[in-house]
Order: sequence, then C-alpha cells, then structure tokens
Amino acid sequence: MKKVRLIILIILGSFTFNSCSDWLYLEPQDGIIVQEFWKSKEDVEAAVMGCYASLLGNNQGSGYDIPQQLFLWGELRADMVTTSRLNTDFQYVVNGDILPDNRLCEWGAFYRTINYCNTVLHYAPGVQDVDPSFTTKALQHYEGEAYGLRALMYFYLVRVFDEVPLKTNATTNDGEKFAVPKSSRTEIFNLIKSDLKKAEEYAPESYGDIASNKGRLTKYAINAIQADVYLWTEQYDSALLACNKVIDGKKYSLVPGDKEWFTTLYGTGNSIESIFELQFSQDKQNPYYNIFRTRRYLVASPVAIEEYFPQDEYTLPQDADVRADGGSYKSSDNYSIWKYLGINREDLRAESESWAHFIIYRYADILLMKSEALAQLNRGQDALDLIHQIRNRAKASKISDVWGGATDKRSVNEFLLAERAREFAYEGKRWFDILRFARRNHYENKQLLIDMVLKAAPPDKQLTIKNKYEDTLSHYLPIYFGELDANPALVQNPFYETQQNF
Amino acid sequence: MKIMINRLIVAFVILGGVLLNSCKKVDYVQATSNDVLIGTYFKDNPDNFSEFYDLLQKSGNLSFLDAYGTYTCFAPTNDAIDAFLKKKGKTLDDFTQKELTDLVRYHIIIDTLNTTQFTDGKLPKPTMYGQYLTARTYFENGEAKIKINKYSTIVHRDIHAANGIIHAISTVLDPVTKPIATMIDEDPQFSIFSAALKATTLADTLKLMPSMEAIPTDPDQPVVDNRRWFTVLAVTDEAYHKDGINSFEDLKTRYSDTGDPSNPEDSLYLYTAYHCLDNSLKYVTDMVMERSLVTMAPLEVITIKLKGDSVLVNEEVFNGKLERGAPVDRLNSDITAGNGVYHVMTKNFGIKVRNPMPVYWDVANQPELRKMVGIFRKPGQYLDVQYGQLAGVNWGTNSTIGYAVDAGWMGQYYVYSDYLDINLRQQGIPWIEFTSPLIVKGKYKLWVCTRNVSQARRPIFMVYFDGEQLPNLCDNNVTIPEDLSDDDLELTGYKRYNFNPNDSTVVAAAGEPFWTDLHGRFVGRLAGTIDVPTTGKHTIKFVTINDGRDHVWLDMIHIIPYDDPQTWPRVDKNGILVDRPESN
Repeated sequence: MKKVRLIILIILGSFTFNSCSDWLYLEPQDGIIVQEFWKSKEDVEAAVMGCYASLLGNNQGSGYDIPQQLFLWGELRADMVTTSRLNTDFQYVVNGDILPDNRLCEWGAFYRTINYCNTVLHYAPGVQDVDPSFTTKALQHYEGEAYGLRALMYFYLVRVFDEVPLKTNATTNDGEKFAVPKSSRTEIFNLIKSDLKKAEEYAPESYGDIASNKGRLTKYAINAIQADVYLWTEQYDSALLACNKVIDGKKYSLVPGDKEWFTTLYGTGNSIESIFELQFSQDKQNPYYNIFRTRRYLVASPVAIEEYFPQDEYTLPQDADVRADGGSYKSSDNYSIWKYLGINREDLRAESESWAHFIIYRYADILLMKSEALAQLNRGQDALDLIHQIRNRAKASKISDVWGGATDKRSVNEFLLAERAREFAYEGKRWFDILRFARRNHYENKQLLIDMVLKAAPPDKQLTIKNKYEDTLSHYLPIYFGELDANPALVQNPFYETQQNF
Repeated sequence: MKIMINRLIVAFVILGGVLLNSCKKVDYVQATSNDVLIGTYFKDNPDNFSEFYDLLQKSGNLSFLDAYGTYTCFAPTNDAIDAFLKKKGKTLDDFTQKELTDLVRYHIIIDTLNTTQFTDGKLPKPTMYGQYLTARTYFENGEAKIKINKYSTIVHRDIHAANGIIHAISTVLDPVTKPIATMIDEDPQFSIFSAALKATTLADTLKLMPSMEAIPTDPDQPVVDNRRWFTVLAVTDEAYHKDGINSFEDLKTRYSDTGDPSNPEDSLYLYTAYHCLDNSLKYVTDMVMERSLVTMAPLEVITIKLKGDSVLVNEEVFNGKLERGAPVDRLNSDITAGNGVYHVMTKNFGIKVRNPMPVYWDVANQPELRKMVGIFRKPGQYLDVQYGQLAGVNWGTNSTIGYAVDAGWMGQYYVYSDYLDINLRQQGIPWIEFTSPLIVKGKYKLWVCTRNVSQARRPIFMVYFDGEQLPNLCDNNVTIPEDLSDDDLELTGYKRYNFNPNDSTVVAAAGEPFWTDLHGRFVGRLAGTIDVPTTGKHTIKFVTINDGRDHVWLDMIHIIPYDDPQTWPRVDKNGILVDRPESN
C-alpha cells in the first residue's frame, strides 16, 4: 500500500516538475519561429516586405501608429489644420500644454519598424550559407532597403524628439539589455547619413514594376531622403547633389495640373511624380477617414487657407490653383482634408474605399528642396525658377506670387516656405518646414515659428505659449511617460521636466 | 482503500496548490495610493521645505494640509524663506500669529490647480488669504519659466500629493496691502493721472480695501467673489506728453467743463472715472475674454480687442470707419494692488460721444463663418454649425444650426442671400442667444427679420434683450397682407425689411404699395422697444413657446433709434440700404 502511495506521489511529482518546462513547451501554430525562418531568399524578401507593411500600422482606430504620427507630427503643431471636434490630446497641443502622457509622443511603432530592419540586417547575410541561389547582389538590394528605411525612421524621430536611443542591433531574445540611453543629435545624424550611404550604394534603381518602385525604397528614394537630411543639417552642397541625382535619373516628372491632377496624384496614387509612398489598399486601409471625416477631429484651418490660397476675384474657378479648394481641402465638405478623402476634385470616397496613399516624397519635393539648397547657396534666381516651375504646374494665383529680388535671400526663403505650404498641404511636412527654416543659422528665424503658433493660440494663453516656444527645447516632443517607466536609462527633455534648477 | 484514495486526493490537492503557488510570488500593494499628504511631503523633504514646514507649524496651518481635501500649495524653498527673512530683517518668531497665518494662506488655494490650468493672468480661484495670485510663462536666459506674481519662479511644478498639488517656488509671495490709489500715487510714471484721481476724489474710493476674510471655497462650486475690487487703466505721463498734455493743469484745461473736477457731472470727473472699473477685478486676459466692460463713468463702456498679441482699448469699426484704439502695455500691466489691479496705458483715451445709430444686422455675419471663404455668402452652400463653433451665438445644446446661402430665387430676397436655419423648438433648440454688434446707448425699436410661411407649423418665440422679455410674440406663421401700406403695417407691428428691385410688383406698380411678390413672406416683426443702457454689445435671445415642426429662417435683426423712420430704408440682397423711392 505504502508503495503504491509512493509511486503515485513520484508520478505526480515528476508530472508537476515537468510542467514548468517541456510539458508547456509548444511551438506556435500560427507563426514561424526564428530557427525555421531565414532559410531561403524568399524568406528574406518576406521579411523586407514585413518592414514596409509595418509602416502601414496595425490599427484603424484612434491609436497612434506610423500613418497617424506621420500626419500629426507634420501638421498638428503647425498652422494648416485646426481642431474641429474636441479631442483632448489635440487640444492640449493647441493650448501649448504638451505633456508626456500625450499620445502624440508615442514612438513605439517607429522602433518596431527599426527592429524589423535590424532583424533583416542581422539574419539576411546568413541566408547565403543555406540558400546558394541567394546572390550577393540580391542580398545587397534587401540590405539597402533595410538601411534606408531605418534611416528614414530615425530621421523622423530625431526631428520630432531631437535625442532618442539608437538601436542598431536586432532584438532577438529576451535576455538582452533593453535600457538604451538617448544618443545625441550628432550621433543620430551620423548613423542616418552612414545608413543612407550604404543604402544608396545597395538599393536598386528599379524593382521592375510601378507599384514596387513607389512602395519600396529605390536608389532615388534614398537620394530624396538624403536631400532632406542634408537640408536639415545645413549641408547645402550635399543636398543639391542628392537632388540632382534624382533629377538626372529622369525617372520622374510632375503630374500636369489639369483636371486629372488630383485623381492621378492622390486619388489613385503611384503616379509618375511619386518617389515613395505608403500604399494603402482595399485590404489595408488608412486611418485617415476616421480622423478627418467620421470623427472630424481635424479640418483645414480657414485662416491658413485664406493666407496661402487667397481668393482671386478675377480668376474663373476652372483656372484657379489646382491645390486650393477641391485639391488640398474641400470647403463644401466643412473644410475637410480632401487629399485623403476625395476620389477626384468633386467626389468623396466611400468609407470602405479609404485607401488613399500617404506620399512621403514626390518629384515636386525634389524640385523645391533643390530650390531651398540653391537659395542658401546664394543662387536666388535658380531657386526662383524652380519655385515658378511648381507654381506654373499648379496654376498658382498671381496674388500669391510675392517675392522681392532674386538676391534678397530672406524674401526668396519666405516665398519658398509659402509655396511649400501650398504644394505639400496636409502631406505631413508643414511643421518640419517651419522648424527647419526657423532653426537655420542658430535659430535666425525663430520669430517665424512663434508668429505661427500665436495665430492658433487661445487668447488667454497667448503670452504663455509665446514664451514657451521661445525655449527651443519645446520644439521637440517629450518622451512618452510609458517609455520612461519602461527604460530607466532614458532622460526626459528638460523642457518637460517638472523641476527647474531645483 | 477508499479512505486511502480520498486522502490521496486531498494530498494531491494540497500538493498541487503548493506547487502552483511556488511558480509565482507576487507582492500585492495593499494601499490605494502611494501619495503622501501635502504636510507629510514637506516633512519628508526637509532639504527643501524644512523651513516652510516650520512656518506651517508655527502659523497653525499644518492641520488641514495633513488632512484630506483639495489644495494647491505654492511652497517656497528653504532658500526662498531665508531670503525673505533676511529682507524683512526678522526671524519667524518675530512675526505675530496673524502675520504668519496671512502669509501662509497667501500660498494656498482650495482647489487642485495644475500648471496646465494656468492662463496668462490671475489664477481661477483666490488664495485662502483672499487675494488672487497671477501666473505667466516667461522666457529668460534661454529657458521658459512659469512665474507667480511676476517674481516667484516655479522650480518644481505639479507635485501630486494625496490631498492636492504642490508647486515649489523660488521666492516667498508677499501679500500686497497697499490700495490702488496709493500704488499709482507712488509710481512716478503716473503723476498726471494720479493728480486727476485725487482732484476728482476717485482716489478716495480707490483706497477702499475689500474684506480679506476667506470666502466660501467649495471646490465643486464656482467662486462667487462679491467683494469690491477695482480695475484701473492708468495713463502714463509719457502718453499724455504725446497728446500735448504736460501737467495736470493741461489735463484740467482739456477736459474739465465746470472747473470743479470733484463734481460727478464734470467732464474731467467722467473722463477719469472712465478709466476705472468698479466691482471688477480684471487682469488683461480677463478683459480680452470679456470684450466690453462697464466703467465708473455712468453707463459708459470700454471695449477690448485683441490684435495679434496686442490688446487695444476702444478699437471699433463704427459706422463703417475704423477708430484706432489705445494699446495696453501688456508686459508691464497686471499690477496687483491690495484692492484690485491696474494696467499701464501708453496712449490717452477718453469717452467717445456717440449718438444712437441704427444697426442693420445680418445675423449670419459671424467672424467664424466669415473666415470660411469658400462657404460664406457663396450661393448654394449649406454648413452645419456645431455648438461652440460661434463665439457670438450660444444655444446650449449639442444640436447644430445651419448656415445657408440660397442659390435660387430666394437668394434675390435674403440679404446677402444667406440666413441662419434654426430648429427652434422644445425638442430641438429651445433657445438661442446672440451677441449683438456695438449698439450706442439710447432707445430703439428691435425688429426680427425672418422668412415666414403662413398656415404652417413654424416656430413662435419670445425675444429677450439683455435678459428682459420684450412684449411682442414673433410668430413665423404670419405673412404680410399684400394690400396693406407700409404705415398701416407698422401700426400692427410689422414691416417689409428687404428690397428686391426685380420683384414683379415693384417693377409693375412703381408706387405704393411696395410689397414683395412672395406673398409677404419676408417679414420684419417688431419685438418691442428697448432701452440700451450702455454703449456696447448686448444679448438678444429667442425662446420658443410652441413646438413647431419647421425651422426659423433668420435673416436680419434691425435695431433702429426710436425716433427714426422704421420702415425705410430697406436692405437689398447686397446689403445696400435702399431709401424710400419718390412716389410719382
């Protein structure tokens, strides 16, 4: 009897001991584990496609994934949008009270994509050992895309947060040290530039079909990012060089400003003008319909519209600036942000058709970035010619054709900035444009930024907001409180610290 | 055996329980909050707050900060208190109990105020001492800083304690005890203005101090502060010099008509009183938000306008002309006194003498709508206006009202072709209130101009002017009989308010009677006679009394001086006033 009891106990005991390890050990049935992946060049391709897919975000609701952040970071703090319905996070931004719990500060999605890129860079070279058909050239193409995408992600982060942790190795197991401190702006830009250099060397000029050439990073897309980066770091010769590489490639041209302009560029997407865009589709829709139409959190700001697209009494509607009513916004739809809502100039998309692409770079941007570099290199007339090329395409109104002489650098700059506002309205560029122009030459034009925020400031907070923006640290967002909790090595942007000299 | 098996099961269950537990050990926090009470926080942080803690104890104010409640405490650091004592040349023991209590209570507000709730100017609630504190963000030495009362920097903001919020400050806040009149007198830049205050005896009034007894401060209730505060817009000597006034004598010569400025009828007295607000504590931001303020000159108001970031007094478009205002020196204003606040005016301004003027008000002409250039007065447009979207129109429910521009036939009749489409009924919008344009004080007749339809179920409503009900009902089912002359119509309280030159009857008859061929549907209804007490903006409110099915189509409101002709001029679709044609 005692024996039986003992045996039972032993059996029971072994049973329970096992339960902590093998018995519970199962391989996931709905996913692939790393040991079984990275076996062929198809696996590498799938992983790279996964990097791009991660840009589209994984929710449609009110969360703040990459597609939302690209828009919000570029527009919410600037003057082209206004809050229409109450949204607490947005209202705090307008009131100048950005706190670390504002979801505008969530960067998680960007690091997710960075980690995907890091994973590709970590595992892809090893695949050559197991898949002999995986050529070095093919490997380099994929590596180029991963380097380019990682650089683009860090370029957004450094412009929004100024200093962020640099993570360049793949997170492949739980044993790793996660507490990575922030790196300096210089270190981040060094990584971005070196990544882009490798990407430029590796990435192909073409992937063979239009959709891939617009949705994946080609060599020209890398050049476009480079131009933007060099403008930000005030290296105008390099920026000019990068723009010229795209122009000399002769792969892109402006979509004519006729009545098909909207449909071609925004309604359908993947146009001849586009260099890199987020390709939403019927299956993977964008989150913009919800923000701009269903909930109407954000609409075009009538004040800005009036300033950038002034009414021209002497022009017939069909001859008006194509980017005005029915292009960037739609006045008859309560000033909704039309670029993501219209099929064409007149008709609204159905909610189930909300797959308008988000354009990150297009040829017009190359021309205006080149113009910006030229203006800084004291080639004012060349800069003006490019601005007028863009204006002529869009049939811009004479009223907005305001500039001094070609040698008046300040007036050329102001003209360029206003033209960028018109051309890239609601394409997530405005705040970065204002900040880039304001901070140039040790914040030579800080007033530009302050004048802009004052326009939207509530009257009872005007002076407070003005003085907050005088502090240049406030031009960058705080680190989200959740990140600070999770990573003890992070230090908050001092502007958002609750203590000062204490 | 059975027993054995039972025992085994028991053993198994126990064993299982033990094993399962052994996998995880969790320390559950058993408190609802880790926050300490405000008083305890100071006790726990002696490096920074030992002296403030000491002060709280000595003044007998610690007890409530160590009990549950809602407080905001501005806590001076040890350095701040040292500096304060050094400046006063005293130690804490040299102060009386009352002085210590006043000092401490000047640092505490009964409510929880985060820095995000601060606006430029006074904090939303007074301190326990009774005076208000001010807050504003400054940019100094490359850093944005929030300062309380302009001199005390917040060095650690928004420290959350269980019973409120602590803001650590760099300088002790000292209650202001001098009245406005004394402070202006002591400020050398106001020598002329101060002399005027004294000569008019207004200085005596401006020396009255309000009671500093702590007012009821239930955090859930809005503060009702009925104490007598004053606000003064003081003109600097420099501003007077620019206006050719170099001494008080010059000022007297310019303004005094009886030669005795202390006489309340004297125009220098009125001039000076026009710079003072009674029963009113208005920091610059408060003035901006209110837009028009009653002064101590009987029934005279000043208006405030925000242009960019400059604040202007009496800048108004009047009768089609822009009258330039006097700027408030925003940086140096908001000077707190013991009985109010005063501001620095860098330009002289006086009472505007104005006679009653008719107001032909196109109600849909709201600034927010005007900015929507693609919609405003563009034929065929219709806009759902959300509640809260128009600063000058309030209707208290979440429903929308419509802004419509008629593209068709009616567009020839509506003034500017546009109107407001209001679902005025119990189940829709039971009332709607409009802020009027500037109306000069005087006696007027108020006409509500709508498009009506007879024998329909359109709204019937009462009109209120500044909260006072006017005698006549506005019934939107009434249309104007075609055969009544203007004069006969006016006797019944109706008029034709708009003018369409292409109206078939106008063209055909070319003489009396002038009526529209829309079966008299565009109707001006006399709501009543109003006495406008002060020049400024007033409120006009419609309150429904029936449950109509259709909406009010509101085009205009006419406010015409009582003695002026009421039925002409009429307004055409371009907003142009058309005089009564010569009859042939």
